[in-house]
Amino acid sequence: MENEREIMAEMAQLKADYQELKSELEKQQIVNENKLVHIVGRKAGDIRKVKFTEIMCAALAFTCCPSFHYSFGADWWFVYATAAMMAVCAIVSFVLYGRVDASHLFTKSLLEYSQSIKRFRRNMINWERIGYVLMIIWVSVLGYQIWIHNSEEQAVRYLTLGLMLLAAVTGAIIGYRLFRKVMDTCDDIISQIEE
Amino acid sequence: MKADEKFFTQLIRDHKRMIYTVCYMFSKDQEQVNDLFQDVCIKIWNGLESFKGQSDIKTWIYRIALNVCLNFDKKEKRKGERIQLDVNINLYDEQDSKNLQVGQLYKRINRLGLVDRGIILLWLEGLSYEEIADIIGITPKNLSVKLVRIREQLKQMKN
Repeated sequence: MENEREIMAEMAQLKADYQELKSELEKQQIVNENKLVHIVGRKAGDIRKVKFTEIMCAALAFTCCPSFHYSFGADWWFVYATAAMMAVCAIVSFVLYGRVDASHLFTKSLLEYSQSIKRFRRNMINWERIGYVLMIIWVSVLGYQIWIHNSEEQAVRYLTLGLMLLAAVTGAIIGYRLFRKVMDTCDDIISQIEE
Repeated sequence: MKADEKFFTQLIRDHKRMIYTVCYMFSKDQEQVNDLFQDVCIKIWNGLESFKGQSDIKTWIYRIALNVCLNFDKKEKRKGERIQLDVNINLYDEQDSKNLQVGQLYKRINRLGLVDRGIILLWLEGLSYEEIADIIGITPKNLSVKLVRIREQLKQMKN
């Protein structure tokens, strides 16, 4: 009983302190709304521009697939398989990121949102593993295609293979770093919830 | 100024103190408050179209603010034009006697876990149990149990 009374008194003090903060803020302007509208409108526009650029890059990469045939004579089945793989990757990424879409901020509760982050993290790890397997297979087949279609000129064959390997390693490093960044952000959010 | 801009301006004018308080409770310094405040405003702007008035606008803003605070990347360097908030009290200055009480309150709440921090903040804001439960994603019964536990934790911190 005594303890209960003490806690209630404590909470009343807490509320009083909080009201102190609120009344202090009541006297402040905090932000110039017109300036805020200007900046926020521009920032929101920037986000749309980034999304548009991402879509354009994906579309450009997709249309580059036939260049494998015209540049070093890769078989058409390889070109189609590459295009199909890119389409699958784009769809999976779209679905995965869609599950932690910004719109969830408006509709989900705090715990629902953190659960969706956990699911997203798990799915990202699985997708990353599949992605690396797909990439190793694709790079191996690409190497084989370069090898068989450039048999006349050894220098061109080795140069193309070297460039391909360099691009593959660079791509893998960039991909891994981006993956780690996403994972770190997810871990940060999850640890905040579970602490 | 377009109609939606006018509505947004009015919305911020009416709720800026509430947004500021949430951002303050989830930040470590003034710079982070600025960044969080800006992020919350951008999300509100982007979400205005999807807000169909099913819930109270205040509950909707709290939901966004708390989810943004949860999702906020503290390590990321913010680029471009930023909002500079015009607050004349330095809430992080412990030497200022005026802020001492508030500073102590901030410190104790800040030691709680994120969900507990969200709960106590909404309770201090005077929201009903149903509203808090809806924003956090637990049942009102579970909320009352949690609130008792949080109160005891806060008391222990003071001791």
